[in-house]
Amino acid sequence: MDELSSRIQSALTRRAFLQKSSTGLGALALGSLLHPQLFGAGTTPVAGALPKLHFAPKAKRIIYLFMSGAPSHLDLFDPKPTLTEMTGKDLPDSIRKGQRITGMTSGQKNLFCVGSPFKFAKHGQVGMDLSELLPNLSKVVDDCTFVRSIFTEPINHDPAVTFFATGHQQPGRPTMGSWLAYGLGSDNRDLPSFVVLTSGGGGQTLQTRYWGSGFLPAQYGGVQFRNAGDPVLFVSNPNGVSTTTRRELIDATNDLNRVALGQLGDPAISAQIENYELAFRMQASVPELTDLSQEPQDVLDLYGATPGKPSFANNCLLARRLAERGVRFIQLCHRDWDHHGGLPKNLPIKCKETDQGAAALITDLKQRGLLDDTLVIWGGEFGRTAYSQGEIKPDSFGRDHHPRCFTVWMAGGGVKRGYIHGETDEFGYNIVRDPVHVHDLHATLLQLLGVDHKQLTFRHEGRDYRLTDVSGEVVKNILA
Amino acid sequence: MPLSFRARSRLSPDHMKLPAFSSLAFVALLLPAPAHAEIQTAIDFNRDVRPILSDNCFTCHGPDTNKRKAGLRLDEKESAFGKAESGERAIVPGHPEKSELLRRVVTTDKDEQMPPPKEHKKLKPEQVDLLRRWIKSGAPWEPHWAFRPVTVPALPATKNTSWPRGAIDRFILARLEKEGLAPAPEADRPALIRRASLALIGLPPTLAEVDAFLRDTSPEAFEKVVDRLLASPHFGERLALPWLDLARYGDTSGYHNDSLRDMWLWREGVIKAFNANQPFDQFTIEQLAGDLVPQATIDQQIASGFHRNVMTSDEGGIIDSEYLNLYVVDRVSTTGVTWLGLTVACAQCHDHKYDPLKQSEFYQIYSFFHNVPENGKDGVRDRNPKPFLLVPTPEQKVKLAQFDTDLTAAETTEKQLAGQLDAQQIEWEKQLAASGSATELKGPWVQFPLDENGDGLTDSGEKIEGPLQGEATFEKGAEGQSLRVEKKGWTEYGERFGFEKDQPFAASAWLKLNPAGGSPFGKMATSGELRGWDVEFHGGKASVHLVHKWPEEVLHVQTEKDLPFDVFTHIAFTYDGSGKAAGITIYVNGEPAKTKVIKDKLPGSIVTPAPFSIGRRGGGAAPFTGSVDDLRVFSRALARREVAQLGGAATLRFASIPAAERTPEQRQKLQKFFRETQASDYLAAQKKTADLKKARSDFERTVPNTLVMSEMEKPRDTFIKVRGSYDQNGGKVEPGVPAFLPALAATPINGQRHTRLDFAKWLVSPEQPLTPRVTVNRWWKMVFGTGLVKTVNDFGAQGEWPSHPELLDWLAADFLRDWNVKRAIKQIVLSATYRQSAKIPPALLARDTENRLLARGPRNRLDAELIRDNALAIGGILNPTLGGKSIKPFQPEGTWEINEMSGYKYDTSKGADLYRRGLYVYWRRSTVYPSFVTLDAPTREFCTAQRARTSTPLQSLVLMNDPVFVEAARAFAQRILTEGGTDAASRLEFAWRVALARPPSEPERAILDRVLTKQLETYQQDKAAAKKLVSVGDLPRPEGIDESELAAWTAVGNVILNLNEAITD
Repeated sequence: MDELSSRIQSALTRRAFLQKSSTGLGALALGSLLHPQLFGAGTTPVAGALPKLHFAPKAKRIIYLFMSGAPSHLDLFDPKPTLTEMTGKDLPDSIRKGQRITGMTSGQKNLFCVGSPFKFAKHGQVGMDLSELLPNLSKVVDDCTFVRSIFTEPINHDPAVTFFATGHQQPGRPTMGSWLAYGLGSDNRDLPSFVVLTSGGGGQTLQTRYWGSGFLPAQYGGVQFRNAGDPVLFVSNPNGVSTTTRRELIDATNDLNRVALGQLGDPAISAQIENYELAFRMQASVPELTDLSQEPQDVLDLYGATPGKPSFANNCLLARRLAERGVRFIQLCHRDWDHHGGLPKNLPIKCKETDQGAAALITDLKQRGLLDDTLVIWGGEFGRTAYSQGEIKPDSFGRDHHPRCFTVWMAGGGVKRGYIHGETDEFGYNIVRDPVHVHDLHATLLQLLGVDHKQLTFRHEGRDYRLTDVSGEVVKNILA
Repeated sequence: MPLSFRARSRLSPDHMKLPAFSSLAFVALLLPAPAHAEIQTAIDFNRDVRPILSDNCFTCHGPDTNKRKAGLRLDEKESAFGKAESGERAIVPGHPEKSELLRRVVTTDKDEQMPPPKEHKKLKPEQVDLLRRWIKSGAPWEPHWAFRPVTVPALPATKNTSWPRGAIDRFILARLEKEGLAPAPEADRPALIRRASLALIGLPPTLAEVDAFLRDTSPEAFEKVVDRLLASPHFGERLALPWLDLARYGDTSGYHNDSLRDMWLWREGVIKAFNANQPFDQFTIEQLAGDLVPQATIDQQIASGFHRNVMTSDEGGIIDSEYLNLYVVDRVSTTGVTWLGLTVACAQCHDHKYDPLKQSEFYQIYSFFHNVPENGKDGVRDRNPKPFLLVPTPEQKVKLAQFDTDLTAAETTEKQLAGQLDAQQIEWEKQLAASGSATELKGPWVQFPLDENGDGLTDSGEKIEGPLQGEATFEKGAEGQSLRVEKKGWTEYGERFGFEKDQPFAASAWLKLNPAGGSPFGKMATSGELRGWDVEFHGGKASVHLVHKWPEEVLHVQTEKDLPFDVFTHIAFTYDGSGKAAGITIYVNGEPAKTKVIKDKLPGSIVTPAPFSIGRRGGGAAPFTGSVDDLRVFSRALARREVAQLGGAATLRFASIPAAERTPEQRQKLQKFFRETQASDYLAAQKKTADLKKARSDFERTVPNTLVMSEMEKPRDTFIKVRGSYDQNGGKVEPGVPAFLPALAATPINGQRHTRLDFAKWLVSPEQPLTPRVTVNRWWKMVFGTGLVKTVNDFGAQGEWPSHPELLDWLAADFLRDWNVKRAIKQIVLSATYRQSAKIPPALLARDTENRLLARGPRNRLDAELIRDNALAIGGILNPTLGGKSIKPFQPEGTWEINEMSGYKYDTSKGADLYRRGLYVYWRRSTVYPSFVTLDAPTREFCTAQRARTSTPLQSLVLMNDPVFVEAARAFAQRILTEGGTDAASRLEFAWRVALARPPSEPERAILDRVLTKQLETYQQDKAAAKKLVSVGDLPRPEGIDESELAAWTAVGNVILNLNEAITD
């Protein structure tokens, strides 16, 4: 086995326990929390547990476009002429190497290769091959880094999404956004520092744990902005309670709480008084923030957004508005990319729902000078197989789950503009150059935000945990 | 020196204005400092030295054999004092200068420095100093405190002898006196009864209870209150709450689809057990192994479901063994936290880094939980996966027994009839031979043989002429020749077959199809409303239409699967005259086909003057391409066996071959045909059995059902999983317990292996020191907010040294005497320590922010469920029903949207169920009830020993605006207006006392007056707004109460329910 495949193999099968980094963030967090300047009132940013960043940050925030269900790299980003030639023929054993496959195709008699039915063309100065399904993205490829060599460990959705979100397959650990909220705090006291937007129905389900805080306190979990009703739960006053009345009631509540504070001296009461003021401010700021009708028509058109009609495009626009207001981590989840069958018909639908909004986000952030310190990431939880699940018909075939390679793209905030990283074999099945493990990606994201992934830790059950578990290497080549 | 409280003295209350989405509780959570606060005098190895070694050295010089460096382990005295591989001694008692450990932690030589520089873990000067002093003093060594046997410590003497009420207070006071602190005065009675009520039953005291306590001047007044609370059925609910967190109780499976399951019987059992004051040792045995107790009762079996609360997955592609492993690992880890207070999960992949737990020992415990007859992929989405226990009511038992009797009878009949099948077949074959035609059926019918012309023949022998028109030819058919048309040929028969919609009729034919489709026959108008009936093909799918008025008033049924082209297929349909799509059955080759209903509305007649045609329908529409053979039309419905005969012609011909001359294939086909289509008695009996089975299974689904543990007949072998990988087996292990703890009882007779029951008994054996320590500590935490050991889930080397180690041991030893839960808790609550006022003098806050020394009473925010319970109780709308199924109170629309794939709807409960306690709220683990999540409830995806307590603006939004809380305020307002007297002053006093048990102070009264006056003014001016506010929720609007007044008081109620004091015990 060559060195490369041996590295991947070992990452896939091990539970490696490299020497654990132990920076004792417990003590460190304590220091920062006790620092009096952090308790200032007004609109000062909220500091996180890290007293200072480990590196000069390239990005201040992340917009993570998570494509739930796992889009096919072979039909969007990584064209394979060999696969087209070999369509209907068995995937060679020399490629598959007896690796495990899911329970959905493991019983299949043959694993027939299937080429992409979509046309590919090179775009931009970088010469990135993109499928015809992504006409808008093709216009901004020179702003993006395409990583064609991401790989992951789990082979099914729930554990794979959990792994991407937390660096661990089983529930219980904090998600990327909650690590950042905890470590870096917030730049806006009136909004949560980690916001989640969902779109697209059907397909694999989402779980709140994909943006949960794990063993971190609940306040670091992502706050879901909802598509219908209150954008943030219970942000609206009850029927019959006006803003004026609410102000009067909060004044009364806080006046009474101050009396209790004087009596009891419990600092928990001061915290609560402060929170009612913040809640009142959110009641104004959240509806303002989520009201897309304030946007000019040309911006709405750029995204393909329609105020009041929930969509991925609307969420992309909303993500920009959140980014402008200093929200640290904005996670969009778009569902139903799980094309086990009917891929030729269904993949174009998903692309149509997402391509314009995602590309518009890059264009819009760039126009506003926000792309320099905002990192946009697009990707699913794994890739899809070179072989077909089920019968191959001219207009219908499927692809099963494939964790061994897939493509993720990034734009802005400290990554190269117009760059392709990594390479897969002629079947798009194995990585042949520059593999990037999910932990490596996490390490890189943290680095871009100025954080040494080994030093953002939290003491839980006697151990210092971190997002990258016990591994992760920064992918230096994608840094600008 | 570890951080003392002095380090935190800068935290004056002014500095506690916490940032957004941060909280005081969080500050507390991050503080890793040990509890003791005094300037160090004597060094205690376990308290002072071991934590430094554990945190800095154990990863390389600790219990993990594989990672151990230099042959040195610092968790064991022999190695620490002996010679390492280098020949040096890490610790030479009495001689710091000779101790290599000290030299290495102070050296600046990067190659020699410990911990190594890459660990970023330099010891602080005061820690080095402490190590030096410890070694100099002879390096006194003790085993880890938590693993030592529980002994009864002597009660310490105190200067103040009047304050202590019992042993607990002696320990607390002794420590306070050492610190130069005095206990706080006793809390006033309203605060005390409210605190105790919320702690012991999770509900506030009623006004009558408060008043009774205020009146009672006896010395036992408080004890009476506590006894009443311990006897309340709500005590069991209160104790169940943290138990559900430990057990990771949920109403859904958790992973992936997060499917529905039923576990409420288990929850109910826990509540009952706590209410009955079941001794904790017995409780433990039943939770872990109730199924294995000899002659296990239903309740004991139900209790064993503790470890079936584990999350399971039904995701399509998962690998069974991977998930099975996950479930067992979770059980070991949960058991570790719940009973042993150890992070045993760390040893899944390797020897524990800090505690003397070997990886092999992890798998020895694993093997106790590895024998459940379950699958990794649970395989069900709307009911319990096996093994489960049905718990029928007495009526249901009777009904189930009846089903079983009926089923036995039906199966006997079926079996008898099955025995007669061969004889019957011979008889049937004889009849076939006698009838002359294999497909002879009773009339009335018309047959169109389509062998040489279009003519038909009735069952009575009448001939019907049907001249060929257009281009039609004949080709080889299924029965002789067939009629071939390619959109250009047809025959017509006038008004024949003009059936009405309430008339049964049927048709059958052999058809050779073509992708061009069309209608092979039918009688339908060609324009306008297209009234009539036909068979039509679109591609390979067959449709039957009965049309009153196209396109809406139509019965339209279509086959789901495509039929093949270019071969003869037998197609038949039969209609029962019901006017419903369900009355149409389509058969393919004699078998009923899967169909879908496309239209199902037929309000009027289907009679049309258009002619019946073959080759097209009626007067010219939908011309057919293909061949038609042996078409028959019946003016009655057909039975399945009749269709089988029509479609089974090829098979039936075998009957005319003498039995002895048939090929095996012919024999087999004929037998199959007879048994599956013609043996009517047998088929009826078979159907009856199947129907009964289905009815029983449908009925079973209404029977209460719960997941239980059970043991496979032959236990699975257990192997060490190499590096924790499910698919990499190492050495085989036998059931066992860690060597550093007392041994299991002697091996059972006959050399059988130890069982889960043996393990459960071991957990509560008197020698095993962890269970009693961990358990009393958790109750201490429930009552005081923080455990004597703050890390309630970790009593190992990385856990926190107890704030009062002797007290913990005293409580543990006391508990061990009888495992009496109520007695243990009562003793804590009756202490003078618990009764102290919760007021915090500023100096004390600085000195002891977390109240670990307990120089004041506890004051903690309520758990999520209790905040809701409390609001409902104050509003007077709490439904106190105990136990039962989970309920679904109001939650915002769309909360389950993110996992709507599963198709489960959140059907909000109705009526009184809306107001049941939070403990009963439906727990969907992927989307937990929203206000609970915001208020720090765990997801229960895994064992949780301690909830975080945060304070956030999102919580304020819940309390202000969640309709559940607004409705509670409205109900509260109504109570105030009807029960609180007639003037504002008495009403305000009433409101305040109901919510907080005490009367308002003057400043509070003034603020309340102000807000009430203002809101009265607002809502009297805006009656529409008043109406809206008092309509929030499900409760009917009261009659005879002025809505403006009710709205104003609702606003006041909302203020009160939002107070810090209202959500704090």
